[in-house]
Amino acid sequence: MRTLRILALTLFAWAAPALAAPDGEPPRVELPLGPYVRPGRPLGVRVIGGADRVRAPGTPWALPQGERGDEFILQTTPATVGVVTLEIERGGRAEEASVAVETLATDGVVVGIPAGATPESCGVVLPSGARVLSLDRALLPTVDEGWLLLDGVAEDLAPKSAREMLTRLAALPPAVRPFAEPLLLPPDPLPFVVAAEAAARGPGLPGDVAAALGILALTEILLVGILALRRDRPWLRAAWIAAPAAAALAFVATGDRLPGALRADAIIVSSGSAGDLVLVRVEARRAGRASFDLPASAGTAAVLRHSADDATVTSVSAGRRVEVDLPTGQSRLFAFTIAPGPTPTGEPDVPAPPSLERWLARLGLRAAPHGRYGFPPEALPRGDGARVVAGFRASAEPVPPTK
Amino acid sequence: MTRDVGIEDPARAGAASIALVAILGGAAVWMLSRPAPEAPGMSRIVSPEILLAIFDTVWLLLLALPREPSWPSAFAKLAVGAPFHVALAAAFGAGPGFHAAWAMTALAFASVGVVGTAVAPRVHGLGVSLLAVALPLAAYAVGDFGGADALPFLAASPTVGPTILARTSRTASAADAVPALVAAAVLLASGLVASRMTKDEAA
Repeated sequence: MRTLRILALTLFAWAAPALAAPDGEPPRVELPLGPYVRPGRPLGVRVIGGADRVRAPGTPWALPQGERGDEFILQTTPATVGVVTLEIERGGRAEEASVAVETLATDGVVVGIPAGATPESCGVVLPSGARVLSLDRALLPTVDEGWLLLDGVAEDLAPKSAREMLTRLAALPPAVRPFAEPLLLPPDPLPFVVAAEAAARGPGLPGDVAAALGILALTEILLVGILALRRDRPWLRAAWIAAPAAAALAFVATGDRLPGALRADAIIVSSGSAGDLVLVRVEARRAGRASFDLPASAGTAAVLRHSADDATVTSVSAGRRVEVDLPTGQSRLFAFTIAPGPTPTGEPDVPAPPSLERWLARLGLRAAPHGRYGFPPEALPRGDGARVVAGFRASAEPVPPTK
Repeated sequence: MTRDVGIEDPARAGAASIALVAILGGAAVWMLSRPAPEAPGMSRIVSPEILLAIFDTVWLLLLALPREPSWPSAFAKLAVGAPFHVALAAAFGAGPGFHAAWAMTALAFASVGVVGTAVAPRVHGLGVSLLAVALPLAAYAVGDFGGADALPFLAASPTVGPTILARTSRTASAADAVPALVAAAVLLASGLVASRMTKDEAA
């Protein structure tokens, strides 16, 4: 009997993907917050039966997230209106699915309440002109960034972390919100300039590699001095001198410690109330691919666009991890927020990149004139194929509103 | 006196070279682990490309021109320089082709350095001087005034070749070592011929 059950379960597990996505049928797609899009806001999508990655035309690939691993946070473009055509990759096959959507106003306030309820019964106070969306409890997003279509939500509808995120964003001046949630960042060439300037002035080698080779240099000088006082055979002397060098070579050349074909530089901008934003610039000195696992406290990564028609982002996949495949000479930029870390000790002494002040001013922030290089490893994504070097750490504060 | 000690114990003769490689490599790596200087000129000098070129040039000359012919000393110099070279090259994004080309160049000049210094030290010293100074000057003149392709001749020089190899390290292939290997072979051959002629004269 037990054998039969195991056999039946095995057969079901084997057949489940086929049942979820029969050949020839388009994949089934759900929009957890209903058939709505909002230009500049991410769009949460659920693919029934799961998928490897999903994207809307001209946007980066979204990687699976959520409790069942079937939710995808898509970065939209202003062209994502009317009918959203999704490109879905499942088991190496590329498929398409289309969803008719209503475009919500970019400005204005959109609030979600349970289907069948009224704002009053939910205790939601609506500003004038607010749009109310009735949400089906069975479909709701399980990823916090999936709620970013809304500005507010009834208390018992969304998880606490999602509600806090929306409340925190609502409390910030509109210009600052994209800093606190990089999925809201508009296309802009300035962050690329900031990241390139910071990378050009940043350290070229990680600290642990430099420390290991510094120790090697001191060891070799010491060995040369000690061996000069002894009368060992030449090959024995050579072995004494070569042994630490071989150990150092094994250390630096293994474990992805050295920068390779892809160079990844992270910069962090700390702003008390708006949180800490991490920008990672991946530059291909030679063609290559790499993936980056975000820190535990990070949300979904946003792939930044240089301009509204920047199609280079379509080669990047992003979610709780980021995958890039770059030809020689190109670079990509992704961003995420992390929980604010401890304030570093000591006075910042490195002048901030010149373009940082301009970029942050656009986001309603005032950059501190000086920063420092290096920040805690907990804030860095873990790279596979490219090691992330901790770069410039800047601080900023919201510009007080003028009277 | 120092020379006598070196002859009795050749590994000791390479001690200064090994210390110099370690100091130079350590300093270069330390500079690269720090933020770049504010001044544009200084920032350029401490860029990975320039530091790699400087380190490789000094390392190669120390390998090609040993004070005493000693295989253990040459091996130790190669071993000590390797980790610094690998780190500096990685900082610039050098590819596997560069490492292959550089490994062949370094091994060739280290071998020729030991053999040449042992069999005909004066001819070897003169040959390295010609390769290091006269060849790049002549190649530059021929290239600049004659319009000829002087790159292979510049790449054959132990003073200019490492810089060319470093600059092209992201796209270099093992074939880029050919000019240096030819130069090393010519150097070796001239040393052996000179040694033979000296022996014949003595006989």
